[in-house]
Amino acid sequence: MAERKVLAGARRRASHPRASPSRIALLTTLGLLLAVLAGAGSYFLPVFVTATQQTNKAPAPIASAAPPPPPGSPFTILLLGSDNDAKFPKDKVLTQSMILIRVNPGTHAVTMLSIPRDLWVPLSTGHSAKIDLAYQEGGAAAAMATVAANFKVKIDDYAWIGLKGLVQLIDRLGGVDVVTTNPVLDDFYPADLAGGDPYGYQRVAVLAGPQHLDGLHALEYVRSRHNDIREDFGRSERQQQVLLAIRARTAGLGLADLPDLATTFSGEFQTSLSLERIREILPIAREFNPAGVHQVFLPPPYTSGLTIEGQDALQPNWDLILPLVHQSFP
Amino acid sequence: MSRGPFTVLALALAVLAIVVYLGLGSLRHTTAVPVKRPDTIRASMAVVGTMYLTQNGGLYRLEGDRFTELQPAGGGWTQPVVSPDHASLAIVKRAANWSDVFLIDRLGRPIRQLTHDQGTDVVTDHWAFYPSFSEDGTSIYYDFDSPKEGYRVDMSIWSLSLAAGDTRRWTVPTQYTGGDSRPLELGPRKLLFTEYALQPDGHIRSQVLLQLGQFGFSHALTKPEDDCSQPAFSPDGSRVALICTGGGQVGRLLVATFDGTNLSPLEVLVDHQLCAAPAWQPDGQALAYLAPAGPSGRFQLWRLSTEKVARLGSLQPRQLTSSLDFDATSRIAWFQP
Repeated sequence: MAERKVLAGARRRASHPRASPSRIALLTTLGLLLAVLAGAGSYFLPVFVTATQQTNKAPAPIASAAPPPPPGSPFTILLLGSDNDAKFPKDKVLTQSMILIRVNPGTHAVTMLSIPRDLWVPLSTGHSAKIDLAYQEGGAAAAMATVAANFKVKIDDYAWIGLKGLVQLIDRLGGVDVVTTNPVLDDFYPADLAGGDPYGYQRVAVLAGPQHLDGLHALEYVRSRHNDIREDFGRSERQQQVLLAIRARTAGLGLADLPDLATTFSGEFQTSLSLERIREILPIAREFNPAGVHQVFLPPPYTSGLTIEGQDALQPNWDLILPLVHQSFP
Repeated sequence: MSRGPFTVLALALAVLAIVVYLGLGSLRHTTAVPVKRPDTIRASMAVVGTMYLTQNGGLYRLEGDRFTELQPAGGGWTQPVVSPDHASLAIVKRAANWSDVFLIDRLGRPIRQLTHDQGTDVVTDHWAFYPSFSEDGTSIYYDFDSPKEGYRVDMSIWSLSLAAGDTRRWTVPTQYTGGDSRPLELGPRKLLFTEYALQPDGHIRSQVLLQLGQFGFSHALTKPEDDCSQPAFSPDGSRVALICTGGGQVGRLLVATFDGTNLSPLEVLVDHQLCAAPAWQPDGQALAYLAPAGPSGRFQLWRLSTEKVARLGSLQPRQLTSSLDFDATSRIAWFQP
């Protein structure tokens, strides 16, 4: 009987041999690694979801024609902003804002060219119209191709943001500090975000001077267009101001901020940039001096008003525009 | 080995995963800094006299180092100014599509609504901003967006008699620029205001103008390229503080002496700070202003001595508040009761 108990004990020890110290160390290390990965993975999950859905959205014709620039070399991005409210079907929106940005990481030189939305040009979709129609007819690919063909520039990537995306981004950053140049008053500002009627109006009064703007008021400042003596050029200037103010607020952002931004951008942002490329570009944004940014606009004599097909549009003077643009954009 | 150690190990690893998650979260910069109500904090130093400031539509009084809430946040209150006899304040109450000027007592209680700008739609609604009292306190001057037509909506300077209620327009603004703003009466029929106008370089700039009489001759006290606005006169009227941006995205606080007709060359008091809303201490020995502080970028209250001896010494602008969010397009009303 006693002998049987001893044998049974020996069998148990054989089936559950004591783990060696090295095996315990290995298992512990693996466990720690797994725990760290699980924590980090959960944290960055929104980034992965956004990366899958909203980044690396390279329009096919451009992607095949333009390999990404090597790290550290100058690059050009087309920023697109749209009224993606209820007036338009999803993905069939006009681009109210088109800003071409050239960044030279080596010299920290940045040039921002605002392209008037009313510019009458041949679209890549096969007919002539205002340039803001290109995105509606053919998405980012058409917008990039139209700008590239008319301005004779090479565009590496695009980034598109919707109205709510801009509001949410600025709110997530805690607002932006801006010196508004003059009182921006508008009696016919679209009440599409605040009210239920996408065709309704509201009044806007963004008063002049230094101030802290939340997302909604920053949007009013950059979107208002009815009472500006400089018409769309004034609005372009305001858009560049707020863009630089956003850059100032994002200068301190790091990797840990990406999930917040990814959540903010949910459905309101698309880009051809890969996540890896965004990670490369973020530090560059920190390094350049906003005061040194070269801001380019195309008021008369670069453009002149015309009425065509019943629409008020802008006629480009390419003899003046192209030399100006090619000073900064290859 | 029993199950006990494995359970402990699994729990420890789960805790580690949570710690990593929270640790990464603590490295974020995007989380907005919470804003406090002024009456929940104390200023870092006691101020002379009494100040009125607005934050998020609420009206607050600062006496010594303590704030008192006079009107709660969300009420649309902004741009207070004290009457010459210090008995009342004129203040704007702003709604979504219109704003009105009210008279309130020193405890923030409405006495009277002076303007009635709510219409029936966006065309008949009006804005009234930046009220100021005439020297004798019998009328107010203010920005008013009338006349307007179609897409054009610009501010003109108007006056309103407090007794009779009759109104009078004083300026004709440059159209489609936002117009004229922030009137101050410097004497009978002598009006100071800020004009926004398109310059030959294609930019809209602000200039401080002195106008003699209704629709009368005006001359500029500042240059367009300096882009100055928000003039605030010292209690004796001999000096004026201004905010000038030079057309850029950085504000500067400047002072000049005023001989009744012209300004002396501008002297920079604060540079490279987004200053706004300057106001003189009742004895004229210091200025208060609003400027962002800290990572939030929200506007806090600052004080700066204007005495030359003090400025040549080690005195620097002193930040009086933190974690607040003062309305930088409003004003600081500061007086000695």
